Amino acid sequence: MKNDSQKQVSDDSLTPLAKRFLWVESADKVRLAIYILAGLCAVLFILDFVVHRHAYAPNENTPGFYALTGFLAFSFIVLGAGLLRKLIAKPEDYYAPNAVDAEDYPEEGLNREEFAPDEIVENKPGSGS
Amino acid sequence: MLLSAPFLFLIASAVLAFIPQRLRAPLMLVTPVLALISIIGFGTGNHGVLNILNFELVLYRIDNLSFPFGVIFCIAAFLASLYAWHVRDLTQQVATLGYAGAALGGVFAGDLVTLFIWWEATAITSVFLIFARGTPAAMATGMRYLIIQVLSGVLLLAGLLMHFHDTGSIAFNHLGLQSTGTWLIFIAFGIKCAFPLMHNWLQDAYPAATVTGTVVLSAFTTKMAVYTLARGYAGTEMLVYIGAVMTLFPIFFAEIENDLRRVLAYSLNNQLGFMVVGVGIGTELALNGTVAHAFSHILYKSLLFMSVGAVLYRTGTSKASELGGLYRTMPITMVCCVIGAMAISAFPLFSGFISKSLILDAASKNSYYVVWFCLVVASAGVLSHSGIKIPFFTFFAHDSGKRPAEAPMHMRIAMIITAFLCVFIGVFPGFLYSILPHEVSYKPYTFSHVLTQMQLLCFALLAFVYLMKVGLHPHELRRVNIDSDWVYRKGIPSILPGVAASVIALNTRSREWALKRLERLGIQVARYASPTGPLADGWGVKAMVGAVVVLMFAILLFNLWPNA
Amino acid sequence: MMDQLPALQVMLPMVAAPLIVIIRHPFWSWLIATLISVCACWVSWLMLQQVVDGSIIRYAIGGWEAPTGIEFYVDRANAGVALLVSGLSSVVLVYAYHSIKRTVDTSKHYLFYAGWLLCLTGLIGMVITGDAFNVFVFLEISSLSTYMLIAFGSDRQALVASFRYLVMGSVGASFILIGIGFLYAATGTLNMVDLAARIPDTESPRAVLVAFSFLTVGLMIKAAVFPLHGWLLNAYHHAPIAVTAFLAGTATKVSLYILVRMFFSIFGDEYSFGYLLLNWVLLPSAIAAFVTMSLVAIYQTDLRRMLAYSSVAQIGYILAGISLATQQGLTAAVVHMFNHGMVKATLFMAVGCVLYRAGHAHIPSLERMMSRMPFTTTAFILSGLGLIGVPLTVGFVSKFTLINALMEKGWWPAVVMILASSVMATAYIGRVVYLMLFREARESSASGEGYQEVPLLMLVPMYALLALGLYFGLFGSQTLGIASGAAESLLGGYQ
Repeated sequence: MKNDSQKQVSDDSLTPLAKRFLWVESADKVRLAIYILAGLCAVLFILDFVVHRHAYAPNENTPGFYALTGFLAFSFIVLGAGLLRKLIAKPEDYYAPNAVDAEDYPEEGLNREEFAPDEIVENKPGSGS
Repeated sequence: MLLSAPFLFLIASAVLAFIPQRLRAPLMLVTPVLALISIIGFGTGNHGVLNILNFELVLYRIDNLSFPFGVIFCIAAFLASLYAWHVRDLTQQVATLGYAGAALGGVFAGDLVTLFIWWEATAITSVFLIFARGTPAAMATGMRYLIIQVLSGVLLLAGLLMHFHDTGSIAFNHLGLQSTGTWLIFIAFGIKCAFPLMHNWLQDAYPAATVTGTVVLSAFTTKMAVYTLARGYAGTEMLVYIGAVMTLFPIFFAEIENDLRRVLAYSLNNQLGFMVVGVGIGTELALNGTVAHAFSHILYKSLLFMSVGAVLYRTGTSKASELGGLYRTMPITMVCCVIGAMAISAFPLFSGFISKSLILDAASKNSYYVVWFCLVVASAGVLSHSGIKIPFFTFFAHDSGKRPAEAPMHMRIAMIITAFLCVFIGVFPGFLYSILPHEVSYKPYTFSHVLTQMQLLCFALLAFVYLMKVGLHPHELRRVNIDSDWVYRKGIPSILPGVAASVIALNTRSREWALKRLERLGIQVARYASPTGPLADGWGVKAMVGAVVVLMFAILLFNLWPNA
Repeated sequence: MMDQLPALQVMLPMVAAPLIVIIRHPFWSWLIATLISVCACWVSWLMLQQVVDGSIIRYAIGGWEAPTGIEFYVDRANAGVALLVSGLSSVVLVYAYHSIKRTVDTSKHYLFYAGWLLCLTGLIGMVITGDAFNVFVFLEISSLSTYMLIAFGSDRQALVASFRYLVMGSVGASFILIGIGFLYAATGTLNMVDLAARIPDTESPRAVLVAFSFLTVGLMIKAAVFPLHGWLLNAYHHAPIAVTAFLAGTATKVSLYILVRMFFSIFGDEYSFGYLLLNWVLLPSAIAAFVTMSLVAIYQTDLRRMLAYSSVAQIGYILAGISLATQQGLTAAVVHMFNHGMVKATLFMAVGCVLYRAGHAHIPSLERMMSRMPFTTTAFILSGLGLIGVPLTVGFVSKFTLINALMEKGWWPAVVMILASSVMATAYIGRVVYLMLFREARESSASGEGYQEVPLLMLVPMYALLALGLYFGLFGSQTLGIASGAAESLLGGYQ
């Protein structure tokens, strides 16, 4: 991932929680994660042949039914949406000035604050990790 | 009656205006707690029964169905108030409490008249959360929102009047589609529930509200509508198919939408579809599923809106194309967002898993196999837009270079509590199951159920990875996507000037014509009816005797005809 | 004494009339007429008390039992009508003293009051008699005296009006006589109870039908049913106003009562005349009456004439109720007879007060009456509201009952017509009220100067009647109860 040019905050100053996710920057580790996912999928798929599942709907009991459905449905949705966009996408100011799409959120409702390493220290660790 | 939950909220929202700034946020936190105590304290039964003009109004009906909605509304109001701790805008604060109170009032209304009043109150209070953004575009959006909401109220009023005329009763119990009146009420509910083609107000308005306003909006209106459908139209088969369509079509829009808050609005629409299917099936299992799903949905949808809102609050944008790589500096927000995403995707151990499966099971048990399959596909779709798209493009994906600070403390607390609840409900479903309308014998954590769900989700994830690698996954673009609301936002306005001109011309011409006719008619009437006209005068003896003869003849004819 | 009430009722005014002619003194003749009328009113009140529970008085004149002799037959329906007639007569007579003094030459007063009592005799006799021929006799008594009373009008037109009425009345009376003749030929009896019993078994139903037709038309003329109302307008317009007030409240109502009695009690609603006549002759004429006559009333320039047209319209309402031939419809008709009688008499009395001071009843010249004659104007406005049928007034009670009855039968177009004519009534009353209350007097109108209120003797009876009307408007259930009983008696036929 291209990051260096814009990066003003060094990875060392991040909070401990954030540091745990730095692996996503490494192509190798991401590839490893993908392999783990693929392995998990393989195991889940094989389980279908081992375990007998309860089923009500027709074909629900066919081995690999859910796996196939998940994969195909996801692909269909993503690809179908891509096609749909060709039909319905318009420039962002299409509905302007009567819609909020093209406008910036008013500043008075915001509190833009840049990351400052010290500030995060009091942060409670272990919120959800 | 002033101690009932809706009135507590209303009183608190009125009090807000008169107390100093520093007390307002605490009051907003205390009110939902008091309201929850009120709901539990009053207990099951019809409270606040008024007899006005022979109408029996039931202001505070707590029963198995309204109770869980009341509880989750109070929790949602509490969390939203905590999340909005920093807000100093009195309008938003008053609107938030008033809106939550109105929604509670709607849920606890035991008759249609009371329901109508609260129904309109939700519209009028909530629109200020959109107006509060303060831009002209927000004003325009708010007006669109208000018009549609009020239209729903008007339909409800018309329907309830016709229903009252038909049955003589205004009680709000099971209605069913049996007359024009109940159809009108059904459509009114459908508008607020964002049925297909009546849904546009939701995606239009929610992204236009303030950071905190969207969190509040997401909880109440639609779920109140789900409640009213469950109350009035449980077991109406049409709802099964409406719900199935609702789960599917928003997925595609969500997938390509750039504004993450609008993605969530489409996703909300899709989740409502699951609940509507449950209402349509109408069995005990299905209704339990609907209520449970509404309950957990409010939590994880709030959580997602909160995390996206926090990002918006810190960066000034909620557009996927402008975001990315925020996990570095907003890790807590990211973790909460991922929890919300996993909950909505119904990973095991998260709240979505234990509620959605009730509805899916009900669908397959009642042989709605096609609908069931739609719901399975939609579940994969939920993963795609809410489960992956929201966290991935906000916090990971390509680095946007933005390094915002972590969300403010109160937002973090609100998100962490909400995230905790999402997980807690998922791990210990018994707590939620115990307050559902009907007895629950359902066991979500069976081996085959966990297995199938994991298969579905993991393979969908695999598909995501594959599509990303191949480069087929749509990129985030700064675009708006037109939906069916194009018809009234662009289509009709574009032909309006022509139509208006012809209408004006037609109006002028027809009015001239009508006036001329009226004038002529007036002259005629005056000529006949004036003191010397034929109707008034000219009743000389001859005319009178003539009339006698004619009438005599007519009567003789009528009398003798049958015997002739 | 109590047994002789029906006879007293008729005999009192009949005997007093020649007595007045003998006395000839204007004041004493007025006083005697008034007292006798009040006594008759009291008698009919006593009679109503006896029959209100549904019982019946049958009084054989001279001890000759029916069917040989003539009998009076009193039940809830006609006792009420008799009370209305005698009551209105008493109230209007009190009022008439000043009004008549102004318009009728003092030397003829004794004739006027004698005529009045004869008219009263005839009307009451028509109502309570149980003999068909006797109806004709009393009808002639009342008609002849009415011609005379109308002719007492102050302008020359009164004579023409009286003559026209005489022609039409005679046509009507002869129709009735022909009808009675046919009936007698077909059944061999004149007693009404007997007639009711014999008509179903008659051997010549054709003759009965012809009789029925003649009677219907004859009574419709007397009741001024549209389009046979022509005589009424001029008569009401030109008669002395007290006579108009009396006649408007009573004469047409009595004829309508006879019509109803004949339809439902003698011929029976099951009889072959069926509903064709009711639905295709009476109802259209009723609707035409209240629509066109209300419309015409809007354009009138004379208050008396406006109210006369309004009367024809109101008779339309009553007829609509009758033509329904249901319990509720007949209740509406009966209650409207009473309510309209009271309201219209009050209105004409108010007009009489205007006439008494202003000398005319030209509507456009009635500006600012409120500041000149506040009591009269108030009475006019309040009864005007009753005529329109504003809620809380008597008009509302009867119109509401009528609309209910029509809706019960599903005659929606008629309901719409009634509402339309109510709007017109609002227009013609509202126009006058607007003038009376708001319009500034034109400087040029010299007639407007220095009116005063009328004498107390005119105001008191007018307000008594007005109060009665307001009372029955607020407590409509009382009149409705009696009317519903009367309708029951009428529909039930003779026992």
